[in-house]
Amino acid sequence: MVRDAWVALAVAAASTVSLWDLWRTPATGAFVKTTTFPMALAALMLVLALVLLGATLRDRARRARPAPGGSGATVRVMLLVAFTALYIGALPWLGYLVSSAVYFGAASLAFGNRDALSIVIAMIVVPLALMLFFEKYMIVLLPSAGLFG
Amino acid sequence: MSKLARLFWTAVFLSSTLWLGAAQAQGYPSKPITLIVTWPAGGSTDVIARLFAEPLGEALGQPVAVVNRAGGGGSLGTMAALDAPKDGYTILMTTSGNHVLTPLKKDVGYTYQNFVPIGQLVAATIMLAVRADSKWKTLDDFVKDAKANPGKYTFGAVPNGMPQLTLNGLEKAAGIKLVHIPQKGGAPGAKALLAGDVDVLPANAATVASNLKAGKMRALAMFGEQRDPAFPDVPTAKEQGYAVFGSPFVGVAVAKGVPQPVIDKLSAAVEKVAKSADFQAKAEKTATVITYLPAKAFGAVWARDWNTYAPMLKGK
Amino acid sequence: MIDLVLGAFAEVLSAQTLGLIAIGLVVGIVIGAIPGLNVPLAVAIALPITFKLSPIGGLAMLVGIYKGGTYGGSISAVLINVPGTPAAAATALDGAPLTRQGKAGKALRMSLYASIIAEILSDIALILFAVPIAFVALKVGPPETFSIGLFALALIGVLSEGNMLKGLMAGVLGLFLSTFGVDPLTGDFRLTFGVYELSGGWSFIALVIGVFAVAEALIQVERRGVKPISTGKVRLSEPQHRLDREDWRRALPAIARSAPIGVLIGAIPGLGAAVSAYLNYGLTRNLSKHPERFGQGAIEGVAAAEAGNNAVTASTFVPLLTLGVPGDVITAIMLGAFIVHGLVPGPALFEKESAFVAAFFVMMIVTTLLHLVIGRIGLPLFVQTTRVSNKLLFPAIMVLSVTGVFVATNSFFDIFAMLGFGVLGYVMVKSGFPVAPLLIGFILGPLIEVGLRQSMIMSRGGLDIFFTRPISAVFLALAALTVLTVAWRERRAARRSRASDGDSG
Repeated sequence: MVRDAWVALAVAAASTVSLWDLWRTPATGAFVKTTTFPMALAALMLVLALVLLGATLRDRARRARPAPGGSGATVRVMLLVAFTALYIGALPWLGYLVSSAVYFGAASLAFGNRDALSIVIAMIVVPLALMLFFEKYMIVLLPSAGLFG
Repeated sequence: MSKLARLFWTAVFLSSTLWLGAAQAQGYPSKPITLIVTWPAGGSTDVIARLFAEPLGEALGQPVAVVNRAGGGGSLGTMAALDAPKDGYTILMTTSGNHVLTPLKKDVGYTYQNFVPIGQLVAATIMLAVRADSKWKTLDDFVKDAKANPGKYTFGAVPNGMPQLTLNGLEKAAGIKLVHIPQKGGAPGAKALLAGDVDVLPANAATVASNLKAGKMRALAMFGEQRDPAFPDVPTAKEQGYAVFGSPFVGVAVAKGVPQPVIDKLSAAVEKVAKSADFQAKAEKTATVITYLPAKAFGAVWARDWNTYAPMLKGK
Repeated sequence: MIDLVLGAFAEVLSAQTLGLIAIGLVVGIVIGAIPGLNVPLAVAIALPITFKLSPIGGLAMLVGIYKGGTYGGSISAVLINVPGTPAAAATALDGAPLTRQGKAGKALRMSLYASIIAEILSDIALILFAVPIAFVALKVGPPETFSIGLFALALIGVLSEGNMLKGLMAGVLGLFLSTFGVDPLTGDFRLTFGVYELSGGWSFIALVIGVFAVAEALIQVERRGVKPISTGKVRLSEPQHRLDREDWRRALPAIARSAPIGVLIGAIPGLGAAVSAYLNYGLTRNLSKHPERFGQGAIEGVAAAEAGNNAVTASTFVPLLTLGVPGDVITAIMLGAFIVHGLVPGPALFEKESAFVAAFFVMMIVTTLLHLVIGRIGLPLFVQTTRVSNKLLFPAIMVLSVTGVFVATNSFFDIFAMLGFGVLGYVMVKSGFPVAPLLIGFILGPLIEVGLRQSMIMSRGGLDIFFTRPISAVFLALAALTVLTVAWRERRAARRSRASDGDSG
């Protein structure tokens, strides 16, 4: 599969960068050094990735399979990742309640929910219940809104 | 812009910051306070912090939430305390490890001078423990044996923690050479000693207290100026001829830049709790003796330890 | 002696203590079942509450949370294929397929009963054999830790059969990720790439929630508008939700093997419930005459994993009570609950506080029995989760995941790391990489590395230490045997598939 080749390349690249970083890290400690174990693993990962790459390229000729499709699916996955990243970024600014509620609504839409009532109710109930549980009952503080002071 | 105008604006600025500061202190604390612990939940520092948080919250009139931010030799939690808004709503339960030893060993983005002392709670004792069936009865027995067999005997300790540094001090003072088998924590070290994987164990008294009391381990020495009231039978290393000391502290600090009125309020609350009989009794049950020091003296401890350990750790 | 036991029963069977156990169990099961919230965190948060209770009452609540939470993770693992705790990840491998086949009740029942049987065995082992088990645990030093770690790692091979290369890659990646941050043996920084948050290494919680909960959400969002598995009310009494004789015939041998192994794993500091669950799952699959059933909804897979993870819940107290040394995160936190009441766990406790120790033992048993009752009452409720639409369920899981990581680590870096691991898990699943070896590698990495390096210092650089210590030698041999059998089977399977390829092409 073509995807395997990309994954193998990514793993190979990551292992090479790590190996380079470890190479420059001073090796301290007795007998087995700080860098020995991670370097061995990074090297092993590099080898395995190259083997996978080789196997994929050899296999491609034999059985070329079409990638399972639907581009809308990929867009939704990327959308959900983007929403989540925005949510995490917004937490210290908008505070827990507001950002969680907005995120919940957006995520529910991404999952195909078109029932406005259930979204609105859950948007309010889920963050509020969590907030009450943690802050009031467990005395664990959640992010507060930096923007509103 | 004329001189007068500049003066005017300076005055406005100064008075407004003063006013804001005072207002903050007057209202302080108006919301829950976060107490950062730089070690994992369940450790000796964490237990003291959790015991301390409740009466401190009562003294301040707002709940105090304990947050564990472990990792990086305690530097993660310490940095978090430094990065938080300097309003006194984030305070740090600081220890020798994260406060002095870690920044000495590596540039982690802060030193003890980035913090203002509030008060010391604990000055722990480091003991040198052996198994109960060990052939060494006194520190002298051990030193003589180790001198005759350099590089033969092993000790377990967390790398570059206070126990290891203290034992390094003993090696130097007694002219002996031991092999360090690094441990991941106090508890794994205690297990390694019991199992015979290491020969001696320098450790915080609290870590080995139960095994000492049960007679499974024996303490050859403790590295304090005076004997520990909890273990009156254990002689100090100094009594036995080796002036080696190791006393890790636990105390409260805030980042520099927190308004003075807030610091005053915090210091008063910490002192009140640390001196309360109820808190001391509870702490004693955890094999920890509360050794309260006010802010100034606590700051002196920081400087003392920094200067003591700098030559041992810097550039290592 | 009789007085002691009677006194213990009187103390534990008081309304207050029973109530605290029940609260602990309910909280534990719920927190364990909710992806994002984790058991050590729940125990840590509940710790200050116990300061105000009687020693037994406080510990009863914590033990309830611990036992309930270790079991609770399996509920979400079975019902929505998102393990609520890392220890339940092995349960999902066969539990989730059963749910998709409409047999959720079967899997849930089995995970409850296997958990309870293993817990009772673990309680009994703690009470009767604490001292001999501790003796064995003490024999497990650095070389043994290394060898046991290697053996557990070799079992990853079993989990990746038919997909060896990708399984190996995932396992090595897990090991590698565990080496980031401060080197535990020198205190030096490695692989931090100048990011100070990385000096603590990758957060375990972020990794677990990322590759399981977030990745599953990303997979589900692809398939918009999937109908819930069940539409009407789910009735547990229907035959597809019941365990029949055939199920028990398959599961009982798995439980009988997994529970004692789990008890021993629990007693060894550093291994824990997740390792036990995977090791027993892998072992059961390796010994099965029909390994191909596994991953397709094999009831004995659920039984092995759940018996494996709950079998540690009492034996983890062995090192704490007999040596005064906590063996894992949860007992480390509970140590606080002991000493706050002036009870310093360790050998002295048995002599000086025998009444307390007796009450503690009785409390363990009572907690297990109450666990059965509360778990059984909960089953018909839990199973209704299959009626909730993904459109609301997964957004809620995402909010919970973010909240859970924040509450546990207080670090936005770790929350972003969770999202990154979610994407990683998604890509892995999409490209046919098994996720389980990643998790196991991450848990075993520090054990193997620290064991290796400490051993080498002990032997002053000689490798013979791994072969001259008997326990270590045995596990090395077992590891080699596992690798050989897996390699042999893999070869045979490859040859067979090549032969069939030749026929068709």
